[in-house]
Amino acid sequence: MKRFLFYNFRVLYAIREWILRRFTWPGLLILFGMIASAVVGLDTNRSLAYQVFTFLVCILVLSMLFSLRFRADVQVQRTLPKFGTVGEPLVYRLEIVNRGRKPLRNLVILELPEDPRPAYREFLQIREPGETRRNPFDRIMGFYRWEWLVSRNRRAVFHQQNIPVIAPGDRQTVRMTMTPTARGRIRLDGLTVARPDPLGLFNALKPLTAPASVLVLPKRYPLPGIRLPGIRRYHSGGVALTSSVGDSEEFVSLRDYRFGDSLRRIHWKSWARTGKPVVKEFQGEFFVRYALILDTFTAEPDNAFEEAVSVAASFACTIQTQESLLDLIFVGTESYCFTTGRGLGQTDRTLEILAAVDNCPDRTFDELAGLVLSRAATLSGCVCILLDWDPARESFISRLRGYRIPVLVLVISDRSTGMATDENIMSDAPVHIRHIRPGAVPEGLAAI
Amino acid sequence: MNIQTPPLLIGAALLFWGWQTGNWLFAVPMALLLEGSRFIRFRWDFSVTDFNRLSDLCALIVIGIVFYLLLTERSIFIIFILLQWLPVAFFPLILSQRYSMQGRVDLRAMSLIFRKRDKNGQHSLPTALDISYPYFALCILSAGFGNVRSHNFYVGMLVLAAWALWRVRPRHTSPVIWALVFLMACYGGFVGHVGLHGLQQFLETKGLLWFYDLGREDADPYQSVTGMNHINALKPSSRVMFRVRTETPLLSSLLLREASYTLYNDARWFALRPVFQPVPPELDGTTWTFAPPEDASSQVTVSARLTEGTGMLKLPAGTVQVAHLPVQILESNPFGAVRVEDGPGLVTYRARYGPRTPLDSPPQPSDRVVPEGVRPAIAGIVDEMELRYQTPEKVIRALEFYFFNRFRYSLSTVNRGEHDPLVRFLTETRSGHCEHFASATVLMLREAGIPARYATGYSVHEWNSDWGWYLVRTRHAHAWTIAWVNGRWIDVDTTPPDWRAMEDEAASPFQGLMDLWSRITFLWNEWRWQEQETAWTGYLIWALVPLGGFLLLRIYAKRNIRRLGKAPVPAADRPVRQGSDSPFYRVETRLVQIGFHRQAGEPLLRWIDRIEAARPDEMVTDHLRRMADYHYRYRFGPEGLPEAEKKTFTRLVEQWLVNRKQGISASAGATGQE
Repeated sequence: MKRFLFYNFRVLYAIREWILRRFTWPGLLILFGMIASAVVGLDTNRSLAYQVFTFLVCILVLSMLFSLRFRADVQVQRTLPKFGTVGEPLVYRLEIVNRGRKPLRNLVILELPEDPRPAYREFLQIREPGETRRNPFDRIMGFYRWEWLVSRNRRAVFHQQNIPVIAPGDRQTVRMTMTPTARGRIRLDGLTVARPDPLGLFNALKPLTAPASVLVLPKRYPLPGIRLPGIRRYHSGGVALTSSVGDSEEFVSLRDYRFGDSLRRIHWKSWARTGKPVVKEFQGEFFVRYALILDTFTAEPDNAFEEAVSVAASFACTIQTQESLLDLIFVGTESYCFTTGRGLGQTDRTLEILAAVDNCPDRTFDELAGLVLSRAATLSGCVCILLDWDPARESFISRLRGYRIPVLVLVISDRSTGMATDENIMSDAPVHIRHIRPGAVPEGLAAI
Repeated sequence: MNIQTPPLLIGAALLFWGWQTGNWLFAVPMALLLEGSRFIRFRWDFSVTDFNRLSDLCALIVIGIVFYLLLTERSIFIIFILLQWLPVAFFPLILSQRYSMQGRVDLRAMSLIFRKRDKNGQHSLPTALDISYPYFALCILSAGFGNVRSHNFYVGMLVLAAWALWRVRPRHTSPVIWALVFLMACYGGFVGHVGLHGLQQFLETKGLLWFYDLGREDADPYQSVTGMNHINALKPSSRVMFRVRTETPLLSSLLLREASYTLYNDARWFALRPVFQPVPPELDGTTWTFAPPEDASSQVTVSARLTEGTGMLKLPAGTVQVAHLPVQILESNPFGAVRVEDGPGLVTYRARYGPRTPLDSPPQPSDRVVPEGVRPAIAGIVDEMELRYQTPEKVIRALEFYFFNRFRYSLSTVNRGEHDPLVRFLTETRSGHCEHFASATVLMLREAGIPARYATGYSVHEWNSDWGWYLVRTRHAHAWTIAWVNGRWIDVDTTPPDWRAMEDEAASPFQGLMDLWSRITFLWNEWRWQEQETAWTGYLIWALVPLGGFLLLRIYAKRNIRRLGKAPVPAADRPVRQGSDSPFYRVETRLVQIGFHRQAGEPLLRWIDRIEAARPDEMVTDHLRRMADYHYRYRFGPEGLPEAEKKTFTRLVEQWLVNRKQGISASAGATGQE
C-alpha cells in the first residue's frame, strides 16, 4: 500500500513539474479552461461550452507542435557564491553565449535543481513535523509527509529569468535569483532554456548540463551585546594548531640563566647587552573558552530544531573569538566538538558545520552531557541551546552549575512541558534560563 | 499571474455574457462599474479581512442562487443555470480588486486552507493574485450556457480570445506568425466543435442513452425503457412530483397518463412515428381544446412543475380540454402525449375529460403486433385461457382475474436467463412490477385480437388533508394498458392492487421531512409564479439592495479611501536632461533589435567592444566609436556639441542606419539570419 502510494506521488509530482515547466501562465489558464469546458460542456445540446473546449484544444495542440523544433545552441556559465543564507535571496550571475547562427529571442532560463523526490526508505522513515497531530487518513496516505519531504529536499525557490535578445556569437549576463528555504547544500544539475511558442502558451525546453552547488547557512538572528561572564582557565600545553608554533605559552619576563634551562629560551640580545646568559620565562596559558552546546535530540527535525540551529549560528557569529575560544559541541552520527578562535578556524567553518547538522533521534541526551562535562574544567562559560526541559537536561545543567561555570540556557520548544522559565530554579548560581517559542525567536533573543 | 488585462476587455467579456444569456440588466451596469475604475481616481485600501468578507459574500450569492434554483427547478441540470450566473456571483470580488489599492486579491482571503492556517497561528505569506483573466475566462464559459444556437458565440469568443492573447504574446513574436497560428486554431476549433456536435447527434440517433436527458422527470414520448431487464431492487423515491385535486373524492385510483407506446422490443417500448403537432389555443391563450368540451363529464386539477418551462402534461384518459395553462406552445402526438414549452416554472391546469379519447389516434397495424421473440409464450397462455374470439370485455376480465390470482407484485426483479424478461415473467417468476404486468397485458390483448398500447404515467390515490390535495410521488409512477374497446381507448390496469401498499411500505423513513421540503418549494413556486414571469427579478434586485448597502457600510471608511497616484508634473517644470535627444539612441535601439542587448551599467565603449568581438565586420565598429565619442560629448560635455559637429553627428548616425539597413537585406539574403 505504502509503496503504491509512494509511486503514485512520484508520478503525480513528475506530471505537476512537467506542467509547470512546460506551460506559461496564460497556457496554464487555457489548460484549466480546457478542462473546465470539457467537464461542463459534455452535452453539446445544453451549452456551447464545447465550442470553447475545441478551440482551446486546437490552440494548445498548435502551441505544443511549435515546441517540437527548438535547437538553441547556447553555452552557459554559472557564477555562484560560496554561501547563501536561509530566507535571504541569493543573487548570482549567469553568462549565456549564443553559439548558433540565429539571434535568440523570447528565451527564458530556469534552474534545474536536483530531483527533490525522496527515496522510498526516506519516505517510510522520516516523519513530517507534527505528523502525529494529523488525522488517521492523512497519516496513512502520507501525502503531507511527501509534500514536506519534497519541499525540504528542494531547499530553495528558484525564479526564472528572461534572457534579452542575444545576437549570434554574442554573450549576455543575466542575474538569477533563488531564495533558499532550508540549510544545507543545494545541488543544481543544470539549467533549462525555455522558448514559448508564438502565442506564448507552451514552452519548448532545452536542458543544459551545468552542475554546481551552494551551501546554505542557517538563518541568523541579531543578538544583543552578550557579555558572558567567566574566568580564564589554564589550558595545559596551550592550544594546538593556533597561530603560534610549538608550546604557545605566554611570555612573562627575562631572568638569569639557570642550569638546565633550555638553550632555546636564551634571549641572545640580552646576553649581548649584559654579558651574561639571560633566558625568557613563560607561564602556562590561560584562555577564555566558551562552549556552544547544541541539543540535537529530537525525533523529528521540526521547526524548533531548525530554530535551535539558527540560534546556535547566531551565537557562533556574534561571540568574539579573537581573544577567546568557542567550542561547538553537539552529537550527530557521533559526538562532535569544533573549536574556533585565536586563529584556530574561522566562524565560516562553524556555520558550515551548522548547515549540515541533523537531528539525532536514536541517542540520549546523556551522551552530550558526558561530552561537555569531560571538558568542563577548561570552560569559562556555556551557552546551552536545548530542545526540551526534562530531568536529563535539568540534571546536566545542575552538574554544570557544580563546576561554577556560568551558563546561559535557551530552551527552544513550543511545548510548555511544565518547565519554569525562570531563573529561580537555579537562582543561587549564575545560570540564566530562557524559554523561547519557535515562532518568536527574535523577541526571545532580544530579552536575553 | 499579475499581468493586467487590456482596457475594456473585461467589460467587453461581460457584455458578451449579457448578450448570450440575455442578462443585459446585469451585464451593462457590471461592465460600466468595472471599466469605470479607469476614470475614477479613488481606491479603497482593502485589508485581507475585507477581502475575506467579499469572498464570503460571493459564496453567499452562489449558495443563494443554488437555493433558489433548488426551490424553483427540479432538474439536476440546475448546475448549468448556476454556471450561467457565476459572473454575477463573483462580481463583488473582481469589483473590489479593481477599486482596491492593491489591484490584486490576496489568496489568503479566498482559500479556506489559508484561513485555517492563519487561525492555527501558521501565518502564511501574502499571495496576491490578479483574478482579471480567470474572471474573463469565466464570463466566456458562462456565456456558453446561454445556449444561443448561432455562430455568434464562436465569433465573439474568438474576438475576445484574440484580444486577450495578443496582450500576453511573447515580446518578439512576429505579428504575422501570431495571426497565422491563431487563425489555424480558429479553423481547427470550428471544425472540431461542428464534428463534436455531429458525433453526439449521431450517437443519440443510434439510440445510445449516454447523452439522454436523464435528469428530466417527464416521460420520453419516443420510447420507454422499462426496468424489466435489470437485476436490482427498485428503490422508488417519496418525493412529491405533483398535486391533484378532483371534484369529488376518488373512490378508486385515478390514472394520469404522460405517454403511450406501441412497439415492444427487448424490454423497451417505442412510439412509432410520434410526430408532435401544435395545438392552437383558445382566444384567452390559456385554454387548449382537443375535442368539443360538451363531451366532458369530469374534471381534474393538476399542479406540476415545468423544468425550464417545458414538460409533458399529466392527463386522464379522454381529456378533451385543458384550461388555465399559460404556455406558449402545446403539442400533441397520436399516442396521447401532450408536450408544452415556454411556460412558467409551475402550472396549475384543469383537465376536462369524458368517454371519448380524441388525443389518441385510432388503432394502427402496429397496435396489433406481437414480437416474434415472445410470441410462443404469449400465444401459449392465450390459447390456454381460450381468449381468442372472445368479446373484449370478457378478455379483459379474464386477464385481470388471471394476473390477480396467479401473479404477485414485487419490487425486486431477479430476471436472469436467456429468455426475454417478459417471457421469464410469464412462465418462470410470475412476479414483477407494473411494467411487467402492463407489457404482458398489451401483448396478450393483441394476441387475442384486441388492439392495445402500453401507457406510462402516475396513479393518483394518496389524499393529504394537510395539503388539501392528492399527492403524487415518484413511487406512484405507474404503467398500464390501454385497449381499443367499442371504438374508444380504455385504461386496463392488471397490476395487483396491493402494489400501492407495497410501495408505501418501502417509503423512506424521512418522508415527513421530504414532504415538508416539497411543501415549502410548492408554496414558494406558487408565490413566485402567481405574477408575471419577469416580476421575480425585481424582487431579487430589491433584496440585494440592503445586502449591498450593508457591505458598503462595512468596507466604507474614510481612512480606507486613497486618491490614486500623484498630480502630473507640468511639462514646464520637468527637468530637461542635456543630450536626451541624442541621435545615438536610435543606433542603440537598432543594436538592441539586432540582438546586442546593452546590460545595465555597461559602459558604451565596452559594449561596442563586445559587439566588435561578436561580429567585427558587419557592425563597422569604428563608425560606432566615432558616434559614441560625439554622443559622450553631446550628452556629458559642459558645452555640449557645436552646431556644425551636431550636424556631422546626425549625418553619421543616418549613414550608419542606412548602411545597416542595406547590410541587413544583404545578409538576410545571404545567410537568412534575420
